[in-house]
Amino acid sequence: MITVAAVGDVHLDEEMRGRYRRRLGGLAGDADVLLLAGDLTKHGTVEEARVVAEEFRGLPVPVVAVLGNHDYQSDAPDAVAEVLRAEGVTVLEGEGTVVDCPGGRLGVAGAKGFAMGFPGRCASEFGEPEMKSFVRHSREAAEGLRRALKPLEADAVVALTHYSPVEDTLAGEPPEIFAFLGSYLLAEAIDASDVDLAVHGHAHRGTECGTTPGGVRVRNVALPVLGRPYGVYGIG
Amino acid sequence: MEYEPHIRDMLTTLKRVAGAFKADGVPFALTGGFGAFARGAPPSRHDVDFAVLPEDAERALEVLAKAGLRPVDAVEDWLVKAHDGDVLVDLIHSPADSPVTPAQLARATPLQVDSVRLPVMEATDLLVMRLRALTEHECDFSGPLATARALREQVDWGRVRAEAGSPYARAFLVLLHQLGVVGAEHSGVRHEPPQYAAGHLQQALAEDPRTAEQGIRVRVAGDDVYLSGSVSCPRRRDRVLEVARERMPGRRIHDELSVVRFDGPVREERLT
Ligand SMILES: [Fe+2]
Ligand SMILES: [Fe+2]
Repeated sequence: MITVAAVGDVHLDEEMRGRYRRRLGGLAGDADVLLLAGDLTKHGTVEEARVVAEEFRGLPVPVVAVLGNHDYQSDAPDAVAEVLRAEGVTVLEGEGTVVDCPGGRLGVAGAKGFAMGFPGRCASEFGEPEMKSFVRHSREAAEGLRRALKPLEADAVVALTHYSPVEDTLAGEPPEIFAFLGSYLLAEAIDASDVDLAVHGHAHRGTECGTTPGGVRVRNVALPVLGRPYGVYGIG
Repeated sequence: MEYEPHIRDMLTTLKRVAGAFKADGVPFALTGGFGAFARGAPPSRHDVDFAVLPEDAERALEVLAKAGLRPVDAVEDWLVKAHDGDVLVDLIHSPADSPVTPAQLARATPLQVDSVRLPVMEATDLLVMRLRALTEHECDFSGPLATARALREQVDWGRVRAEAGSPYARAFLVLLHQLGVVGAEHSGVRHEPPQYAAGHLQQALAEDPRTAEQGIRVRVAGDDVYLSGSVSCPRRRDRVLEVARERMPGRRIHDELSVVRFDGPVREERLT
């Protein structure tokens, strides 16, 4: 059995310093690893990234993260990732990592993902260059996840994204904006591999539980959805 | 009713002036703070103001002199003044270059003030007159504000807006709206249609660096703006309200926001 703690959308900045870490005291007893599903900052500044890095520094379990759209807001995602890595957080974008846990090896494939929508209510790479690049970014993001999943050799595999792979976990959000909250290409990439659990954030008003068309469990771990410091999921 | 001595003196003067005008057939109406008092506002501590026609101003002053008041030289050309002991009586005839008209005096209604019955200027006319008197050097809103609050049911606000058009009067109407004394339709604040207003505010809440909140629901119904959704801490909630107030001047912002809680008990879910 491998236990995974996961949370997204902590949206930390100077004002939030220390508020979240206070809730992490029981982490060692709860889980083998902590996954962060993006939107770690408010505006994606280096200063906010430092708050995040300090909030998650020196925890008793490994921390693996992807960035979210808020972490891109200051056009400095690389710098944000660098600050986190300097404090020992593994930041993934189109890559995977394997964490050795007492219950076995956990593979984590991470990608931010992107919007685009779900079958039947979905944008296409057609028309204006802005529309094409919007959809192309979503395709590349899903491709990144696929690439990250493929070579993972592990006992259990988790797909970690910021955007949602399915509509199930968006229930509660206005249906009109579903297309901005995720992309079915992420689910397709997940279903193409042997994945045990998919976790994402971004949909603050969504619902925790869903599944991909292929039957993989999806959990929306956005902090406002959880109402608790992190979700804990036992695999195997 | 018992009044403090100063008010008592002013009421005595008021009676004397009204009696003198009635005896000599000078058309007049009580206006200003005491006019408002007659219509239900708290008693004024300022001058006793009467409206008279411009052509009657000199005669009215003579009538008051005959009744024992002491005419005073006024530097202003829109009123004449007389003293009754310590009490100053203003006879206003051409406030802000719009002369008092027979129609205004005809609209005045006889009301009881203390023990005397005398014509009191209509509430709308009275407020318009006060607002017209606002200038760069005399723009204290506290008097008109007390009047507006007390008389709000009696005032035709559409006429106030149409007839008192100075920047001071317009600013005063915006203030009244912000204080909830009048609705937006009378404040002169032009609103964008609610659908656009909601859209713009929602985008502003995401794009403004103070908030960067994407999940705030904005509903606009008339003058009312309802904000719902969750923010991560109380300070953020204040910021959202701050941005909303800035972007939606003249509308009432209703805070239905909640602060995200993450103090629920951690429990493990076994995926089998
Ligand atoms: Fe978020
Ligand atoms: Fe997000």
